[in-house]
Amino acid sequence: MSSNNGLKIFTTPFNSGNPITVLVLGICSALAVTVKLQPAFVMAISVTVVTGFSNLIISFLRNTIPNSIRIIVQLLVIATLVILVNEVLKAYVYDVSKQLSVYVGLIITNCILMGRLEAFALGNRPIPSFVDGIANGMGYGIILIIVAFFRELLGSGTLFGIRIIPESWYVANGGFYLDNGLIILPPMALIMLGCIIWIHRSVNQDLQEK
Amino acid sequence: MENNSDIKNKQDSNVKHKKIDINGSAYTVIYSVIMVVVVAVLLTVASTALKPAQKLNQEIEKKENILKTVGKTADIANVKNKAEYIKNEYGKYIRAAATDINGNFLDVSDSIVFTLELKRELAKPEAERQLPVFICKDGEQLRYIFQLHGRGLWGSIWGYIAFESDMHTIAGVVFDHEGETPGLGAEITTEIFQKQFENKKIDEDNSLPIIIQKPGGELNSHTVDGISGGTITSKGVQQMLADNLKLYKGFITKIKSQNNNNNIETNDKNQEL
Repeated sequence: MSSNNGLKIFTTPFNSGNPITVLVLGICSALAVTVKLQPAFVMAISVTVVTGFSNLIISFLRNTIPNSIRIIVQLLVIATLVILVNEVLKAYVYDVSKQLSVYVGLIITNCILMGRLEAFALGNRPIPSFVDGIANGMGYGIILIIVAFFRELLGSGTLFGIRIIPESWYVANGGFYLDNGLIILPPMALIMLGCIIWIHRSVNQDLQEK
Repeated sequence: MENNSDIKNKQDSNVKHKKIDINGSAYTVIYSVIMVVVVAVLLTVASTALKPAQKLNQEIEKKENILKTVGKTADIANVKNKAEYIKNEYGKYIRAAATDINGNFLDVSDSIVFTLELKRELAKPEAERQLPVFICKDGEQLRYIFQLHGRGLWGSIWGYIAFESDMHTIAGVVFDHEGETPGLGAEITTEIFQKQFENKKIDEDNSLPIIIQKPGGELNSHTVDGISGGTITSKGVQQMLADNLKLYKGFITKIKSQNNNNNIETNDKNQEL
């Protein structure tokens, strides 16, 4: 069915099959790394790389993996990729890797990865699997970036660390404006995520259960 | 929907590979051994290959932090090669030394002092501790930089503090942390928070040489504003300063008495003239 249709594999994760808003996977990291745009962005890229390549590798191996250690093999592949990503970040974008701290390591526990391996890579050819992995990573990333955009703007008054709300507006400098401290805390990210799911479902009526 | 066809595909491919029993124990064991060996080799290679770059990053970060406390990184934003710039500036201004708990200089080379970590030293018995001191010599002006290590809310916090040559006035501070809450406790790394410490005096009579208080109150030369919502981290910084300055007390007293002697000498000279 969909395995023949590359475009559909690619677009589903952005809409009716979005890992965060529809499948509700990977919520934990989505709350944790979205305080600022830059870490959210790097996290999105890291997850995309890991989902893409773990799907590709597992798909190559799919006919050789003994069923009894299937999950362990999947985890091994994911963990290896995550460690590689973490090491590369530490070597080349040290500042960002410091901000992401443990969350890069925690990609291993991101349910999207196992979900895609089990549901797609184990039963499909490598190229479609790779596309599916990349698309799911991006579907996850785009939600991260949307949430981080609002959280950084309202919580810190900056975007990518560049000041958007003028310094002179702040109460501390005699103005009228205060950053919303609540936005910075994880509960507000969850509420924001809820709002995104709400909007997504009212736009795409097919997602609503009868 | 999708799952059905997925499962079917899987079964089809299993049929093709009937020759070897991929679910047999022997196969499974060999398979996992090969997997593990391949992964181990891969990770070892990656780790070895990336180690130098990572080490360099850490070294540059440390040097940058030390330079920052004495305000030598002001034009870093305009520099193309940050690493090169920091290395040069560090070489130009900073000398590393180690002192014991009584303030006597120890015979330890620069490169070893650079690798000293206060955290590790604190675990040693008092007499064996080697405390790193970085001395910034800019023309005639001497400034002393100490390492700091303490606890925040979620994990370690650390940093550097620089003193003017009077050993009483803070020239600058840098703080960093392991995992404080972003936007709250993690704000100790911001310029706004760290700038407050400049030109503050340490209060030797108080058990807390610098007091970090609730924002909004009156400030004097020993107090700075804490971070709203980051109270425990702020208190951690306050305690870290208190604990660590106690460690360096011997050194601080020594430099102070040296300063006094110098002053007396120059006064004598002035009188003679």
